[in-house]
Amino acid sequence: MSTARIAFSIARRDVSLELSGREASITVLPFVAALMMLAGLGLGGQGPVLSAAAPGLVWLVVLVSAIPLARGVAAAERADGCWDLLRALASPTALLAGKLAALWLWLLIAWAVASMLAVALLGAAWRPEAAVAGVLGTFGVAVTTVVLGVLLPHGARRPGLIAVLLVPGAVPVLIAGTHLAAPATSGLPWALLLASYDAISLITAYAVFPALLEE
Amino acid sequence: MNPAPQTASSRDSVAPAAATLSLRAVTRSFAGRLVIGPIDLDLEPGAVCLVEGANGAGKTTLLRLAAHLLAPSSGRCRNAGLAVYVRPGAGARGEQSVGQALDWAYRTAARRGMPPDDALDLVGLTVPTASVVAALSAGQHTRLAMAIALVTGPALACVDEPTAHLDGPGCAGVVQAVAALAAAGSAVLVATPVPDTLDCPADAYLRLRHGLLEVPP
Repeated sequence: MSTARIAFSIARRDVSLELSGREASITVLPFVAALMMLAGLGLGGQGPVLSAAAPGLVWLVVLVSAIPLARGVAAAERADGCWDLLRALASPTALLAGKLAALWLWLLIAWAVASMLAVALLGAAWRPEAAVAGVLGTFGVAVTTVVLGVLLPHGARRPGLIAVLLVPGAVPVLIAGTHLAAPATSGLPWALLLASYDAISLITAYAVFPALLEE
Repeated sequence: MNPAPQTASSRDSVAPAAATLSLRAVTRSFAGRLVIGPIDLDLEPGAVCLVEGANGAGKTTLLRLAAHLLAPSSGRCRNAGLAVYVRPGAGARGEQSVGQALDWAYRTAARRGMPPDDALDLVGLTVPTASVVAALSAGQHTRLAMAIALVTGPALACVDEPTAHLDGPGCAGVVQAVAALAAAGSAVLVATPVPDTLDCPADAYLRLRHGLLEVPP
């Protein structure tokens, strides 16, 4: 079986697991909704302030959502005794690609829900560039999360460590994603920044992933 | 100086085959403490090697080294083809159904192993395939782990304490599964702390003591 087919098989399995257990949906989507609604109250409820803050808030929510989702990369697999089988059946590249595809999908959903709530509740303006930011930005966050999710499966303070490492590591996504979605900004430089971040993250992940899998 | 490598060949073999597993002067340390080795071991296709050893003797470390899940601290570890490490209660996510877990492993291993229904019959797991893995008993989960090993059709199966949680028929199912793996050409490395619980015909019996392999008297 080719690397691509095994990666697809892993991603499809993760989607199927989510449909069965709804762990990510139950964990992340209510959190996204609550945060977007509470932010409106926390920021004072004034329309101009809310609409100006909304793009950054969306990306903050996406970054924080990645922290619980990181558990599905390796920690949940280890807890159920499946990590060894995954490592046996899949090459490091296939495992990286499969886990990345599934995590990218969850982050895209989290981003889409947060963006819709930002428009509906906070009065944010919708720009087509925001969709570009959503696709590129969530991909970069997904790559970083997969690497950290594999890196920290044994840590007793795993969620805290992932938060400490992921949020600063994904600052370029936060900044570029926010600017791409904000009105009256030139989109191209920020889109290039996101694309560069994605490329560097992916190349780094591809290079270090086999070593991260070694015990 | 390392002792001569322990070699396990299938009882039916008439000519030396290329080793499925080859360990040469393999050691593994944890936090600077040597846990196992140096180990020299060859396993040929279809050979069954039973390794006994007390708790903490290094059996799991040996099996995980053989399955390439653990990198050796020194020495060389080679295996030809897919190597799976099997332990009771592993191999399937709690949210999956028995059928999903087996089908996924079977398909991802390119359907080279035993079909899932046949594997379930062989290990004597009689629950409906729609049963959720999390709802299985410990013994049923152990049988499922063996069935997953069967459907992957590995070149090397490293089976760690497979009779844990099992009743008499369950132990018999493990013996049948090991025999089926060997008959299909898999080299099988089985570790157990209590050999009496596993009446498993083997081509080689080894004992692991203080991290070193020896032939028991």
